[in-house]
Amino acid sequence: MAFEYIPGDTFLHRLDPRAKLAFVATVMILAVGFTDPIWLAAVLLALFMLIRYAKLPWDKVKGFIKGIAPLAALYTIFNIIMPPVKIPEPTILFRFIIPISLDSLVWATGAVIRFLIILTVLRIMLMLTPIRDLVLALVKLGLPAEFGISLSTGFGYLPVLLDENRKIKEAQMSRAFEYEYRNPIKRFKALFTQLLIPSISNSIRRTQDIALAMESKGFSYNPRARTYMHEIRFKTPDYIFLAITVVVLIFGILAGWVYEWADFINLTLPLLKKLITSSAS
Amino acid sequence: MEQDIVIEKASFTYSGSTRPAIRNIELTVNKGEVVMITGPSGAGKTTLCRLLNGFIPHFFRGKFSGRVMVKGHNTRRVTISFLSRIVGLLFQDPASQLVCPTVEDEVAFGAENYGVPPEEIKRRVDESLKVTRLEKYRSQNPHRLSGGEQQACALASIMAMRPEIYVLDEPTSNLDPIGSERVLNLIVSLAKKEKHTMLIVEHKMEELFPFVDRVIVMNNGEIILDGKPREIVENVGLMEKIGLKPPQVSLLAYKLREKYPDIPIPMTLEEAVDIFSGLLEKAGARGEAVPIAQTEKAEERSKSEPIIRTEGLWHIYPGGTVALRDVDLEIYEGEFIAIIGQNGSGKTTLVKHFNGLLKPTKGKVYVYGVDTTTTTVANLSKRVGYCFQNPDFQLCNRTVREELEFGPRNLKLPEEEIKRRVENVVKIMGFEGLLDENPFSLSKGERQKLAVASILTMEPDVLIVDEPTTGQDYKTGREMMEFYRKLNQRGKTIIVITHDMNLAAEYARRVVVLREGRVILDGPTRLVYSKTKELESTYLKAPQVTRLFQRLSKYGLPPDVLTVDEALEYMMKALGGE
Repeated sequence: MAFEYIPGDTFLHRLDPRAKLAFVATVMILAVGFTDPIWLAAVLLALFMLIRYAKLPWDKVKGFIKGIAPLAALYTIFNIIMPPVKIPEPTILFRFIIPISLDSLVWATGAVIRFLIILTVLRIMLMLTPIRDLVLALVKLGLPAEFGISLSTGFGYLPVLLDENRKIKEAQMSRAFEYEYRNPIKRFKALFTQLLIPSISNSIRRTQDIALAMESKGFSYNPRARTYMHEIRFKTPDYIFLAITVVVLIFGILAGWVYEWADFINLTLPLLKKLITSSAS
Repeated sequence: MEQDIVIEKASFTYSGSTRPAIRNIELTVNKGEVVMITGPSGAGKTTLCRLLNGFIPHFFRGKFSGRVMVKGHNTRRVTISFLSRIVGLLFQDPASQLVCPTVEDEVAFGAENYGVPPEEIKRRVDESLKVTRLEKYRSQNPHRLSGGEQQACALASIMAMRPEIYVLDEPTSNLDPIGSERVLNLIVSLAKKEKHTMLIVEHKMEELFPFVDRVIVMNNGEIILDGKPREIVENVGLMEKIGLKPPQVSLLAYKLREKYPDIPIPMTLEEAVDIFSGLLEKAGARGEAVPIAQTEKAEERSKSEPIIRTEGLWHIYPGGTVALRDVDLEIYEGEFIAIIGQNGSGKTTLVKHFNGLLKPTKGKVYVYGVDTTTTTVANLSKRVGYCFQNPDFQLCNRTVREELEFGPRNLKLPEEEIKRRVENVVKIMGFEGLLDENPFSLSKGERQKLAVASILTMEPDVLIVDEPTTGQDYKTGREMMEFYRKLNQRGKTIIVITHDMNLAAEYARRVVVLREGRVILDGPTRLVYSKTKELESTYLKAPQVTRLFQRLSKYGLPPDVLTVDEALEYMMKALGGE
C-alpha cells in the first residue's frame, strides 16, 4: 500500500504535520531547482538517511522503489532522447538510432534522481504521518473542514477499491475471462472494459451509502465548530525544525537559481568532459 | 411513562416505486424499552429505521404521510444531523458506513462532528473500543477488518456519539453463530445498564428472544404482530408462513400441538428441555439413544477417483497470514458438501484453490487429475464453477443476456451452443422476459440468481457457491438451497460455503469444518453435527433441535437429528410410547 502510515516514536514522527509539509515543499523546490546529478544525489542521500533515522522498514522502501522503477526507466529514456533543455554544443558519445550526447546523459541522470526525490519525499511523509494529521494540517492551513474530511474518507476507501478490483478480476477469471494477454494493448482494453463497468456501478451505489453514513454521524451538523480528538500544536522542536528547513530552502534557492551552482552544466558536465579529454590524451 | 418514539399513521412510498414500503405504521416505544423488529425481506424494516433519524423524509425522496415524533421532535421539522445526536443508527452493511482511515478516527468521527471537547472524545473512544474489544486494531484501516470486526467498529462509533436511542439494522448479519450471540448480548446489556431505548432489526429469534422486552413482526409494510416475546412465540405458525425462522424448539412444540394440543410453546432451549422432559417422563419414555446415523443406510460413496484432491495444502498470503494449514481433502462426484467455519477460518481460501484462483504455497491440488499449477483458471472454469458471495463483483455486462453469454463466449464456443446453453439456463432459473434488462436494475435477490445463472451457462460439473444465503431472509435462502439440491440431483457436485448451520444441516450430505485453516471435522452431516464440543471450539452451534435432543438423550431420542421435521417424527414416536 502506497499510503500506509508506519507508527513510530522518532523526532520525525512527532513533528507537527505542518512542519513536515513545509519540509516536503522545500525538498520539492530543491529538486526542481537543481539539475546537477551530484547535487541531486546528495539530496536523495539525505532522504535515505532520514528513512534510516526514522527506522522505516527497508522492505517497504525497497518495494516502493521496485514499484516506481519502470516509470523511472521510462522517464530516463524520454529525457535522454528529448532533453527539455537546450544544449548548445553537445558532446556526441555514440549513435544509437539518434546521436546520444554526454550532455543529455548527464541531464537524464539528474532528471531521474529528481523523479526519485519527489516520490520518495512524499512516501516518507506518508509513512511518517497518519492521514488524519495531514488532513488536520491542511484544514488548519485553511482548507474547509468538509474538503478535509472528504479527503480522508477517500484515503480510507483506497484499500476497499483495490480489494474490490481484485474480487471483480477473480470473478471474471472464474468465467474463463483472460486478463493475461501478452499484448499490452489487448490487456489494457480487457482491464478497462471488464473492470470498469462493475467498479463504476459499485462506486455509484457506494456514494449514497457514504453520504448516509456521514449524515447519520452529524457530518453537516456544524463543520466550523467541529472538534478534533487529536489536536496538533506547534512546539519548540517544530520551530527549530522549521527554521532549519527555511535555511535549507534559502541555500537551495541560492544554489539552484541565483548562482546556479547546482546546474548540471556547471559541475558534473565539465567534470566528466575533463575526465574524457584527459583519458583520451 | 416517557415515550421516546411515537409514530402515527406513517406511510412511505419511495419515488419510482408504486407500492408503499410501509403503510399506516402506528408505534409507540417507551424509554428504556428493548424492541426486536423482524419480518421477511421487503417487509419495510429498514424503511422504518430510516423514519427515525430523518433519512425519511429528508434524504430519500418519495411520498410520506403521517407523523414521527422522536423525543418530542417532529422529524419533519428537524434535520438529520440534529436527530442523529439522539438516534444512533447502525446500518445493515457495516462496510458501507466506515468512512475514516483508521478505527480510532472512525469511532471519534461522530463525536468530533458534534464538537465534543477532545478530552471527552478520547475517553469515549477508549471506552467504546474496550467494550467492543477492538483496542488492538486502533490504528488500522477499518476496511481491513473482518466482517464481524467491522460490525463491532460500526457499533463502537455509534456508542461514542452517546445517543439516547439505538436503532440497529441487522447488527449481526456478518457474524458466525457464537459471534452474533456475543454481539447481541453486548448490545442488550448496554441498553439495560444505561436504560437506553433500543430497536433491533434481526432475523435471529433464537438468540434474541430471551433478551428483548418486545417483539414486532412486520410483513408487506405493516406491523402484523406486536407483543412480549412470550406472546409472539404463540404465533409460530404465522411466522413460518410468512417466511421467518422462529426458534426451532417453538416450532417443534407448535407442530406437536396437532396431536397434543396442551403443549406450551417454549421460547428458549432451556424451557424446551423442561417442557419436553416433563412430557416424555409422563409418557414413560426411556431407552438408549441410538444415533440415526447407525440405523440409517450408509450412503454409498462412489469408489471412483476423487474429482478434487488436495494434498498437504498450505496457503500463506503475501504479508504472512497463514490461511490454510496442511489440508488433505478428497471430493467425489455427486457430493453435496457444506464447508463451515467461523469468519477467517479459511473457507474461501480453500475453495479458490479448486478453480485455480489461488495456487498452493505448499502442497498440491488436483482437479480432475490435473495439478492446478500447470493450468489456467480459464481452463479449470470449464469444469469447476465458482460463484462469489457478492453478485455485484461478478456482473459486468449491459444486459442479462450478455451476462449469461459471457462465460461461454470466453470459452469460444460456437454460437448455436451458446444459444442452447443460455436458453436452457433461462428455463431452469426463470429469466424469461428479463433478458434485455440491465443487470443492475434487478433486485438484489435476482442479481444473486443471475450470478449463479451466469456460472451455470458454462455447464461446470462442480458448482461452488460462497455464502449464498447471507443477507437474505430464511425463505429466499431456502429457495436457493432447494435449487442447488435440484442441480445436485441432476448429477452436479455442489460445494456450499456457509455459516448457516441449519441450512447446512438440511441440505448437505457431507460437512467439512475448518478452524484456523485446518480441517477439524469432515464426514457425513449427522456425524459432524453430533460433535458438539468440536463445533463449539470454533464458535459454531448445531441446530437448536439437535441440541435439544442431545439434552434429552436419556429418553432414547437420537442425538443427531438435523431438522425440525425429523425431530417431530422421533418425538412423536417417543411420546407415543413406541
